[in-house]
Amino acid sequence: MLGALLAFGPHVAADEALALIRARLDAQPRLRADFEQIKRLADLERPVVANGRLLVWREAGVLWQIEQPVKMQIALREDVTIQVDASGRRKTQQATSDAAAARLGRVLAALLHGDTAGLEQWFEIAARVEARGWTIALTPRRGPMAAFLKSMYVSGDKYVQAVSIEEVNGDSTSITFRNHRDAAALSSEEAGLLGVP
Amino acid sequence: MMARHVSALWAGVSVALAAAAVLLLARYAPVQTDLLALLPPTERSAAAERAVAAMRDAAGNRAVFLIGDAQAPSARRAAARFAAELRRSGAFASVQFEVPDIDPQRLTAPHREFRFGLLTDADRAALVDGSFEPEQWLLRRLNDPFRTPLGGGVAQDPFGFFGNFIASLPYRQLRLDLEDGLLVARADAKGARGIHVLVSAELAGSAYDDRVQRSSLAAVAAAEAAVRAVAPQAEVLRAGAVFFAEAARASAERDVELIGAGSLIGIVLLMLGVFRSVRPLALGLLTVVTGLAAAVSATVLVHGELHLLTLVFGASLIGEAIDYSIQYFSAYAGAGSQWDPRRGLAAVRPGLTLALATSALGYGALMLMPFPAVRQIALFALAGLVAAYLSVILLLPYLLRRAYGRDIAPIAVPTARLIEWWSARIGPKPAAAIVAAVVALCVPGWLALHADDDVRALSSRPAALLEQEARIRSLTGVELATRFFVVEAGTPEAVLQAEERLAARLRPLVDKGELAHYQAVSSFVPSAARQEENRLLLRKSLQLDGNGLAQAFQQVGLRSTAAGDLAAAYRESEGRILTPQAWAASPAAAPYRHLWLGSTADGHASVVVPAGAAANNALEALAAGIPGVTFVDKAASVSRLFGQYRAGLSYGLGVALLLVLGVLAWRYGLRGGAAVLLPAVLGMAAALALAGYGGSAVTLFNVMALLLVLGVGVNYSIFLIEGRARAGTTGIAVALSAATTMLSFGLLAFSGTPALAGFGATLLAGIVIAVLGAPLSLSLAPRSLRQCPAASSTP
Repeated sequence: MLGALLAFGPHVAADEALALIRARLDAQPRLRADFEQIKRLADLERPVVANGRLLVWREAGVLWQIEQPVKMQIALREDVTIQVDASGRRKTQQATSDAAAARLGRVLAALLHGDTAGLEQWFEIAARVEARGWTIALTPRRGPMAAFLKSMYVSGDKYVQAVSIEEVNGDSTSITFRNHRDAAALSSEEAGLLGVP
Repeated sequence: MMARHVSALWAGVSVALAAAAVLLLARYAPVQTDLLALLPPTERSAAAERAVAAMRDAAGNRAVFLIGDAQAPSARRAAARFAAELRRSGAFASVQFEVPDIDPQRLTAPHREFRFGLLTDADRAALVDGSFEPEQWLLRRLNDPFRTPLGGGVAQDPFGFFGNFIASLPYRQLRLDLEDGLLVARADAKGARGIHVLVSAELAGSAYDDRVQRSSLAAVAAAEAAVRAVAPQAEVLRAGAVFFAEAARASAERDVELIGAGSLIGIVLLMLGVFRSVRPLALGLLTVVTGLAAAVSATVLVHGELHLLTLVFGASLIGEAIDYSIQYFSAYAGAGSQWDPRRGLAAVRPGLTLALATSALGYGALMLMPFPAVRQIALFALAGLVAAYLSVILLLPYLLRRAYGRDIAPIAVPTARLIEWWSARIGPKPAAAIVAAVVALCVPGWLALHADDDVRALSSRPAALLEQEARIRSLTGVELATRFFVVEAGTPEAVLQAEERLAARLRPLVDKGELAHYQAVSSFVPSAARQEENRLLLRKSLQLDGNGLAQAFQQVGLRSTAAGDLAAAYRESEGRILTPQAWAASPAAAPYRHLWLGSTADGHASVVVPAGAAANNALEALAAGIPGVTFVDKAASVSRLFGQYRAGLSYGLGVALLLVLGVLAWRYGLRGGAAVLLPAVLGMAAALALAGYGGSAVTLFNVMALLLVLGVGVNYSIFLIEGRARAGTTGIAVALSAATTMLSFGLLAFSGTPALAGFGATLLAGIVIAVLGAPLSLSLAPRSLRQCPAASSTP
């Protein structure tokens, strides 16, 4: 009896919290934001800082545009991941051929959509909702992702505000978003990368 | 008396044969259910044949299950129960369910120490064309938020070359995930909560061994029942050669039972009905039993085993083997109280010998085919018929001495009158008109004929099993390699180099989408030459000897010792080359190890598997011009072989027709011989036309059936002509023979194996027309043959 409560209690609460978070994020299905990403790696003497823009287009996917210190774009779509470097060279990878360990991008894209339904297969999910904001904590289940990923935290209010990723080897990445705004229209390049007609 | 000794000897041989057959069947049960085992080698090179066998073995001795449920926890529970039940049953050598957590480091371990020689094609191209800029690449690598450390940390793999190489390995084609220690497949990568959990089991023996089949299937059924108890909604999908082999065996066993029991019951009823005496029946069955005993013994002695197809065919041979004794009994019954065994034998012997000779010609032609399946069936039939014939002429005169106690006249007299009426009324002209009408009716049917050489006709593959197998394939991404390239060369290095030339030609097809991907050892292990090349490229591009790398590292803030460490690691790995043998021995190679065939008689060999829809001739064209590379599609080769044999056998049929005509002409003259042959030819023509009308394709097996229509159908005309002195009993005997043959071969038409069903249908149609047309030979034969040699007082 107690076991059943322990097993189901937090799970139900997490489900409810996630539904609330999803409802908040649903208000802005198309948005742009600026981001700052700080990576702290054991091999680096100082953290690397990158700046860029984020574009969320609910039906199509997420476009990650790094401006500094190197130009690169990453389009995360349902079916495919496209990388474009500064000289316009494209690298395309089909989602069906993703290595299990290379799903991090897809997980992040799902989180930015507030779409947590598909994540349960890979993570233990804990979520907390407060008056002003919310946090989601993801811990990988046993599997290939657990071999390098320790945990992932996402927090926000009506937008995703911050993501932090802790790796098993001590490396960490933290991303903060600001200047959220509605995405009214796509440029032709963005539309092309996201596959929006 | 000489004849008496020979008879006694044959009696002894018969008993010995029967004992041997029972012993062979019961003790060793050498019944082969592997359909492909019946086919001749189809490939040009021995290595290609071995490759086919190795690929089949790799897939053949495993059974794979997916246990699925819309609720993941329920699927996990069901799979755990299923695996536990399979283990408990002890029917499998091993059952794999839980998988130890795979550390990605372990997956990359076999490659890590060789990493400076391993590059993806794209990275190689960038290094060669100079578009590689160390600082830009380093920054991209560092700032990519989605990169996973497959290749190691930034210091070990600063530009991501090794990570890219690892990510390019074909592991990603597998759609199986490791989750909570289980291998799991999802119909829908996103969203859906339903999962399928993989359970695989290694068979305790060959998939074609019926004991293995029985115990495995029983264990699976029990495990399935257990699953239903814990998760009623769960589905269990299965794949494996053992299930198809069991289905084929069960189907063939049903055939043997149906045909065997059907023809025996039919023969018993017909013999009892016509002769109204137990003795002809008992003795007739005795000749059938000696025939079958000889057939089984000869086949097992020559081929070492008995194939299921042979058994099914053999069951239908009963109807033909009894024909000889029926002829003998007709003479016996016709003679009534005047019965003298010696004179009776003398009366029927020429007809029986001629009939055996024509059948032997038919089956003999089949024996010449370089096709183990057909040769086995032909040997079985030939041995069976010769033994039945010998039993009739050597044993029956001694076993059937007392005169026939009943009167056959009530049916013999009307039959005789019918034949007399036919002979009197239907002369050559009306007979020719009938022949012309039959031919005219056949023409539209012939025009609708088409050929089909699909190998699948040989087996009955239940749709439910095929569908489950297809679903397992699409859920797991594990492809069943039915076509592939075999790469052969003197050394492992030469094999890899040939593979690389082939891969360079396959890549454009992948880019164009004609192929989904391909699996090759050289994807995991580049040739030594290429590894050396890659090392040199890296050394040059990274300026490992100078301090360019150190400067780039410093720019991005990488710790100061990293450049020196990398250069040291490079120097330390000098001369280290990953070999295919070392790769194949590593645990990470498990899903693809079968691609490396290793050393062969002529050197070394490997297999490259293309996945996708590219046409066979396009792939064959790719292999052309690369020495040692052969494209193999076993199913297509077998179908081609079937086509060749069908064409060859069609010519053989023409030759057999001429041979039989020669034998008949020797006894009856050319016109008489042609008249005797005509009904059989009409039977063949009509059987072909019926296939055309029915829309069924002509296969090798239909042509084989035509050969038998010739061999068996001509007997009826021979018996009628030879027995014209006692037209009534001969007519009855012919009708009885035809009825038993039609019964046994006709039942074959209901076989679950398409090839045998087609064979049976053609034979049935051909025999019906041949026996109905047999009186035509009386009409068309020269006058001397039509009239009775001595005016018949006996009916």
